[in-house]
Parts: sequence; structure tokens; C-alpha cells
Amino acid sequence: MDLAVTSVIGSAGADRVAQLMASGGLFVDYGLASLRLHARSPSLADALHAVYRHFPLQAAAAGAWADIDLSVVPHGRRRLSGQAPEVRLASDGRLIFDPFPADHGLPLVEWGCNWMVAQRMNHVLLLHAGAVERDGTALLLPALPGSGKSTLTAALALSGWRLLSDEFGALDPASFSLQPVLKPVGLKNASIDVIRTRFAGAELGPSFPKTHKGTVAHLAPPAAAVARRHEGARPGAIVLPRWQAGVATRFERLGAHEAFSALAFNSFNYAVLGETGFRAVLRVVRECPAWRLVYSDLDDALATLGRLWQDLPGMQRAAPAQD
Amino acid sequence: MSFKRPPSLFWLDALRNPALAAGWGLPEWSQAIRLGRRLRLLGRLAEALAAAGQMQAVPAQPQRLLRAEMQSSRARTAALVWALDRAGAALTGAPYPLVLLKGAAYIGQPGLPFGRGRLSADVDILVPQAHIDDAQARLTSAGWQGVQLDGHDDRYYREWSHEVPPMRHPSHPIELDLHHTIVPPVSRNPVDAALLLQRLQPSQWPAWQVLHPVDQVLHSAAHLFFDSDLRERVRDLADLDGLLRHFGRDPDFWQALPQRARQLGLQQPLALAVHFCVGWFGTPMPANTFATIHRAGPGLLHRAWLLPLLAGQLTPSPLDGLPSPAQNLGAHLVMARYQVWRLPLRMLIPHVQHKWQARKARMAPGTD
Amino acid sequence: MLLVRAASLAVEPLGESWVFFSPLSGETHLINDTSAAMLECLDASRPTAADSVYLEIAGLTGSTPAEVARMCSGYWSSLVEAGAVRVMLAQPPIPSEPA
Repeated sequence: MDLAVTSVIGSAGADRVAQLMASGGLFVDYGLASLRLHARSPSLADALHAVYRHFPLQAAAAGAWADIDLSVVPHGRRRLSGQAPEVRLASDGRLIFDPFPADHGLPLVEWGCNWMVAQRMNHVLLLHAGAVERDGTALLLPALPGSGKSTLTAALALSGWRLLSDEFGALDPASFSLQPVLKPVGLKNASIDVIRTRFAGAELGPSFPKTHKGTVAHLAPPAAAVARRHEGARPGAIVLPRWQAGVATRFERLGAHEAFSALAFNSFNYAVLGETGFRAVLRVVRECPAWRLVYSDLDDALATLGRLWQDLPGMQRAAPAQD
Repeated sequence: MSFKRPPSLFWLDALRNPALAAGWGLPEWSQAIRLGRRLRLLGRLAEALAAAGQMQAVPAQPQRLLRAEMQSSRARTAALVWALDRAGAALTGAPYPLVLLKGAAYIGQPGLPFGRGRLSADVDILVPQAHIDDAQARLTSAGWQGVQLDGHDDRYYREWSHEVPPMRHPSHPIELDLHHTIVPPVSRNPVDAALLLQRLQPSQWPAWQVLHPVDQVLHSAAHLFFDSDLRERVRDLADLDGLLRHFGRDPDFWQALPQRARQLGLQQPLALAVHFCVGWFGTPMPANTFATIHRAGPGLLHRAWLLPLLAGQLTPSPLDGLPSPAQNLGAHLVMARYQVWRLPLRMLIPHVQHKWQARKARMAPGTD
Repeated sequence: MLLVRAASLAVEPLGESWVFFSPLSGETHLINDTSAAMLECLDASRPTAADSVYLEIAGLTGSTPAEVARMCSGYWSSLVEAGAVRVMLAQPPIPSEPA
């Protein structure tokens, strides 16, 4: 490796992060993709220090490779006193996205990076799903709107499951393995407090109010997940989560065609992958049983998934490769 | 002086000679991929490497991105071919020729190596002006709908430009642009479309024809050099280089090219095209043809300010610099149009919006 | 009406229904048994008359061909638009003449 790794971001401190971003760039390796980030922003450095705390502190050495280049650049001038400064995201000499408040650098970078991954990494099938691994097998949580997928993914990541990604089920069709795209988990509004309250060890970054999605905050990926972000995992089961206030937990088996729809028609690049994508999704739904999980009690949901994982090997032995 | 290609475009040589990439380290690959992507030449680079058997030798990190880009451009090309299939079916039996222009024409001529790896969002087709309303009507009845424009823009298209407003179909991510000539009729050098229609050639699809090779070159040159906005249109130059290399294998081509340019009144754009193709791509051509074309182009004084101006516009801005405000518009436009197809609508990251201004910028042909 | 199945069309069973992928259109569709049967009765290289399809499905299901025709005839255009089926014209198209 040609990038000197001296410490993790958490112990190196925000000043070091700021220093790297302002000079040659901060380098971040997510597993599937890598980022070079340029910025002059103490608040962004603070936020990165919080949510990337277990990632190695790496300078983007000249001549080293990064899949994605992002720069946070100041936007406009303060025309009127009191007008909040804004920033924009640039990549490869082009501006992308509208301006964000200057102190909302982290959500801007996170969304920008997600967008870039979705645009570029078409050598794998990018499902829109959370993905976690336990006992060598991965659980896919397709991200339908209002599902509460991120909250559940965060909870699983803090309950003994290894986080692969909260946004991308990145399936390599050749190896049939989900590749980590390990980024801070984006939580919204009430979910932030749910996670903060329920998990004493949850390492949350700052909250950013008044984004288009409401208030967002990010959960730092745990150290063990960071260490293993180059380890894929074979998908074992699909669970479509739905949080609904006051409801008793329901765990219902889904047909293969429902699972197919939930994956294929909810993917970043299914259309681009053509027949390869079709066959990959077909294989997933034929080899992985699927359920819908409707819940209001997070602990009960976690327990249900824990039981599923215990029962899963037995299920697979009993009924292999069904369609 | 303005003959010299900008150093940042060193990688263009690999388009015609992929083996040259074998000498590149990661910094060169990074430059080629980032700039190639921005200039919409990355897919073509990837296809050239693959066709030459050079892909396996590419280092793993850039190789992933090249393969990913091939996936994108092949999917985009397949969508374009399918849209042409359906539009062709809608126009079956029309008693007038249906002509593919530009990218669609290159894809429609499988012998053209550079037709592979394109990322188009539009299909440009030409029908005789007298029949354009009929063509529109047939397409409309098959589900193609004209993009809504206000009165001013609609009139711009119909009277001033050479197109009718673009047409879209709910099943296709491709926009259909119907033309009745190849340069705006109100331009100083109107081209008589009837002359073009006399020399059509077959494409690989029975429903569609293409312009004569010489006319394809002249159209490409006019499309680029009559435009007020040449910013970063290196891809168009690369197309011209590809056309000249491919059709230039026939010696009659070089005879015919300057003659036809004179006949159509397109000598100036041809001279400019040849200047940049030879300078930046090393396009081979007979010396006397080059001289003839050069003489018929802009005069010495004109050339002295025009060429550096054009070279400045064509030269890409730095990868790690800040783009000019006008460049953002183009970026939003390409990304916004492309991503509507790529990302499910409800997942579009916010703040990337279609801007009405971007739509207006599109009306000055500059994005393909 | 003479019909041909699109070349390389992939039709796969999926639980209690079916799914197809058309390399021609790039589209993926979940379909029911009826549509799957209609596709199964077609061939990629040999045109088949729609009436033969109805007859064959009638034989499998115990309906009459007329009932099958009523049920199925409306689906062909969707299958064509989705890139699963191609229609062969009864006569060759009129060649384009120069303007």
C-alpha cells in the first residue's frame, strides 16, 4: 500500500483531518470505492472526525488512485451581512448539486459521494438496500420509501451484525458476493434519538437541521466493520422492513416475485446491467428466502431477525434453490 | 501555436492506438479517466482498449471504472437502438426518406469503429421539410410526445432552428430530435437539404438511411464550428477524426471532400475541423487535400484570432480547478438528463434540478 | 397476424408467476401464466399465427379458442412494446423514395 497509515481519524484529531483536506486531500476507502476529498472547512473536519473516527487517517498521496474526487468550494459572496455562507460540491472540474449552507458540509459530501457511487460503479449491481452480515451470510434490507431501513440497519450494526452498507447492496454478479460500501449511516429526525437512546455505545456525529430530509445525523461505522470493509458476504435472506407506529410485530413470508420487484425495481443501476442484472437478481431471489417485517418495537424486530438467522441454515438445507 | 494539443489530452492518442496505454501509470490513468468521462470519451476509450485486447493489461482500479463505463454506454446504445426500432416502426410506410444524423448514424454503420462507446441522450433524425409535420404526426400517434415549450421556444425551433421541439416517449429514455436540414435556416450559410437527400446511403437498419460519407464529415464540422458554444467539445473533434480516418481509406473521398464543401458552402467549418483534427489527433490526409481545404478556409488575419479563440474554448478546464459559471449549466444539463434515466425518480438526490435555463441552453445545439 | 418471439428473450419462472427480460428493449416484466403461455407458443426463428397460439392454449386449458382469443388478443401490443414479441408484416414494407 502506498498510502502511509499512521493512525485512525478519531485519535488523529479534527485538525489533522482539516490539514489533509486543505492540502493534498483526505483519502477515504469505503471498500467498493475510494474518495479523495478537498475542503477548507473546520466544521466539516469536526464532523468527519466524529463519523469516520474508526477509519484510518490517510492522505491522498500524489499519484495514488481514488475512484471519486470531490471538492467542497465556497459559493458566492456574502452580499448582505447576516446571509449565511454557502458551499458547493465540485468533482472533476464540474459543480454538482445546488449550494448547501457552509456548516452542512457533511450531508453534502455524503450525498455527493453516494450519487457518485451510483453513477460510476456499474461493474457491480447496486441495489438500494441496507446490508449487514452475521455468521458469514448477509441480510439485505431493500429500501422502500418510509421503510425505516436506515434505523433498522443502524440498530443491527450496533447489535452484533457487521455493517456492509446502509445504502448500497453492491452485488458482484461474478462472485455472487455483496461488497461493502461502508459509509456513515444516515439517520433522520426521530430515528436519531431512537438510536441514541437505545444504544449507549452509538457514536453519532453532529445533527444537521433543516435539510430537505429534515434533521439528519450520521452513525459512525463500528471499528470491526471498518477493519473488514474489503470482505464481501454472500446474500442469505431478504427482509423488507416497515416501521409502523403501535403495530404488533408481523413477520410474513414473501413470494419470489415480490422479492424480485423489491430488488430489481428499486436499484440504482439495474437497467444499466441488462441481462447480467436480471440474472443476478433472479439468483438472489431463488437462493434467498424473503420476508416482510412490520414492527413498531425495535427490540422485537432485532429479536425476530436474530431468530431468523439461527433458523436460516436449517431452512436452506431443507429447501435449497427454490424459485 | 494553436496547432498544439493541450497536454491534458495526451490520452487521445490511445483512442486510435490503444497499445499506447500500456505505458501509463496510475496518474495518467486518473487523468484519462476523469477527463475522458467529463468529455464523454471514456466509453470510447474503454471500447478501443477492449477491441484491441488491451483491457486485461489495465491496472485493476482504472480497469473497473473502464468496464463500468462500457456497461453504461452499451446499455445507453441498446436503448437508442430500441428507440430507433420503435420510431422506425411508427414511421413504416412513410413515402420519404428517414435519415440518421450524428451519433445515431455512427451507431447505424457498424463498420465505424468509433461508433462504440457513445453516451447519447438524443437521436437526431432528418426528414424532408415538406414532410416534417407528417413525420411528427406518425410519431405522435405511436406515443411520442413533443416536449412542452412556451410560444417563444416553439417558434424558435420551428422557424429559426432546424429542428422541431424534441419528442419523448414514456417507454424510452432517449429524446428524438427531428431535423429538416443540418444547419439553422437563418444562418449565414444555409445548406440546401435537397442536395444531401440526393446522396443517401443505407444504414444497417432497413428503415433508416445515413448521409453520404463526405456529407457526414461536413455535417459534423458544421455542427461543431457553426455553434456559438464550443466549450470542451473534444468529443465532436474525436468523431471527426474517426470519420476522416475511416472514410479516408477511399482515395476518392479526399477528392470529393473539398469540392462538396464548396458546393454546400461549408468550406470554413471544414477548414477549422481539419486544422484541429490534424493538430490534436494527427489525422492522416493527403498533403494537397489539406492545402486545398486550408486555402478555402478563413484568411490569415481571420485565422490569427479565430484559431486561438477556438482552441481556448475547446481546451478542457483543469480537473481540480473551479469551473466557470457557464460550465456548470452544461454539467447540470448532462447529469440531470442522464440521471433521470439512471436513478429512480424518488431517489434523485435533492438539489439536482432541471433548470429552465438549462433547457434553453440545450436549444443552442451543444450537447448531444 | 404473424408473431415471432424476440431473439434471446429470457423467460423464467418466479414462484407462482413468471418474469422475462428482453435484451432488445432492456425491459424486465413480471407476467402471469397467460402471457407466459403466449410467449411459450412462439418461436424466435419461425413466425406463428396468433390463431395457432390461441388454439394451443385452448388445448392446454380446456377453453375454446374463441375464449382464449378474447382473453389474449389485447396483450400482444404490450408484449411488442416491451420487446418480447415482434410482429411480422403480411407484406414487405413500402421502400422509401427520395423526396
